[in-house]
Amino acid sequence: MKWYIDKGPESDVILSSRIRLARNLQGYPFPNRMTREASAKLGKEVLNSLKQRTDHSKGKFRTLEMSELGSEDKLALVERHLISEELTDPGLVRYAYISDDESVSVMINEEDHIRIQAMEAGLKLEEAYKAASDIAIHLEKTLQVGYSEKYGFTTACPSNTGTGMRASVIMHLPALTMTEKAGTVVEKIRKMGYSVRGYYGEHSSVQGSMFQISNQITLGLGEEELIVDLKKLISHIAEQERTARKQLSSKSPDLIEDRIFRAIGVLKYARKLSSEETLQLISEVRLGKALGIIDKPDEVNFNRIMSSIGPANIQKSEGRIMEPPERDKARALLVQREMEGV
Amino acid sequence: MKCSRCGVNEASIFIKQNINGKESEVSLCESCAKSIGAGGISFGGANILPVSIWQGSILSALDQISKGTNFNTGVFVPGKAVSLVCKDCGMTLAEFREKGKLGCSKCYDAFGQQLDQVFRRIQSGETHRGRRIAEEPESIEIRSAQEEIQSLKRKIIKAVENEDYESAAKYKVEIERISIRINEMRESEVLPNDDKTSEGGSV
Repeated sequence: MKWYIDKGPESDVILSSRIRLARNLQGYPFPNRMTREASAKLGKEVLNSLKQRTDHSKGKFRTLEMSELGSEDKLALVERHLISEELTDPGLVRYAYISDDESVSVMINEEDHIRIQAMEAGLKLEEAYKAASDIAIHLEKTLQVGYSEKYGFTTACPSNTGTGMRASVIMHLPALTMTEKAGTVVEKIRKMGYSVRGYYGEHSSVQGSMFQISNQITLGLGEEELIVDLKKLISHIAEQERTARKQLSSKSPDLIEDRIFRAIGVLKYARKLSSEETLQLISEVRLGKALGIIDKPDEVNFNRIMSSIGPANIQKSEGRIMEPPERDKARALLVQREMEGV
Repeated sequence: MKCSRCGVNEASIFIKQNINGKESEVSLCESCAKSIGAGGISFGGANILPVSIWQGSILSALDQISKGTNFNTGVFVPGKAVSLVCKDCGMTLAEFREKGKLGCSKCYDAFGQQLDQVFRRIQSGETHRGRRIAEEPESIEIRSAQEEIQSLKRKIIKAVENEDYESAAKYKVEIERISIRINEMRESEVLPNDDKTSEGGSV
């Protein structure tokens, strides 16, 4: 079972939690100054160590050499948050090492030599941290990991130095968005030193009221403190969203119901759907579910739709390259199937 | 004003940012702003900057730092620049300034002083306070219990100063109780397949 086909804690507001740890090896330049030969050698060394792990709690892992994948396959992995766009750059020999349930992936030769990431449904930062740090500790014990007593773990960019940790949470904030409070909330989050991005991460814009919030500080605070601080902030925003939802449904119940049922109508009967429109409609139906206006579909369906509607994933499931109009048609069919019985 | 990223073109885009209460401004030319995705996402009146602007803030930090040194234009001043090359990967301070990225783990030794200044601006200090290499993480419960002990110790000092020995004794008992709890938590955390014997990863 894939990790995202799960309903985690506080799933009414929180879609998923993710921890990313950056590590580098001594004796090799960072990927921005590395030769192709060195990147291949380092890749083998890291993969050898990863394959020696005796902890099989996340199931089997598969190894993907990026240059052996087609561009659609690579993009499909990007859309599912398993790898970053940078890993698809052909300059170096790059690998992804991905667990069966897709909750854990290790990128080799991205901006740093090693980027470990662990994802969980709902608010589960501690669990994600444990999964990621288990792998990090294994690598630290078996390889010459770059570390300085003063600065902690060394990284290519000084914005990651120290813990090398980025903790992020994807939040669904439709009520704050509708009541135009989201802007102020986002401003406050930024002032507190956190970054806010869209569902598809770096460079992506906010779609479907999905916000990705993560720490920017990595040095000067411990991993636990960073996680506790982020959780405090997240809980605070979640409460604001819940209050806004209550106010919305008590002040203008007809308006809300109308929006939700219209969204269901389009998702069920549209013959063409763009990914952006789908995300927006899913956002409204998800709100309806959280408010108790509808009792289907489940979070599971939402999560599955969201992980499969990206352009590359649509083409992958159809097994061929498709033009946008064709993709929109295939997407509408896929959504229709998920919405059956709603 | 020149663009703080390329240092060549005139800056036309100015972005104010506030990180942990510290305001700073990044000035960019149009092409640099485009290439790092600045311009941001406008949402509900707030301007959400993509993460790449973070890179901009490192570059501007480096830029400011360089103003106080002899590396204003990235041109080396003979005799003074020699130490500011990483002897492992050959990265120079000028290159670091230009890219905002380091070349290898040894660069941290070569550019320590400059990095400290960058860290003071973009991080919470310049010293690592997280998990050390190859160390097992302590649970949040243990960490908060340890913090509790520290705060009780401070309370004892204060109580003794005020000659309130009764309270001081009470705090001491409390510390002992928490210490026992921490030991119990540690014992229950040791996993059967925990490999504590292998030492590795040089420090």
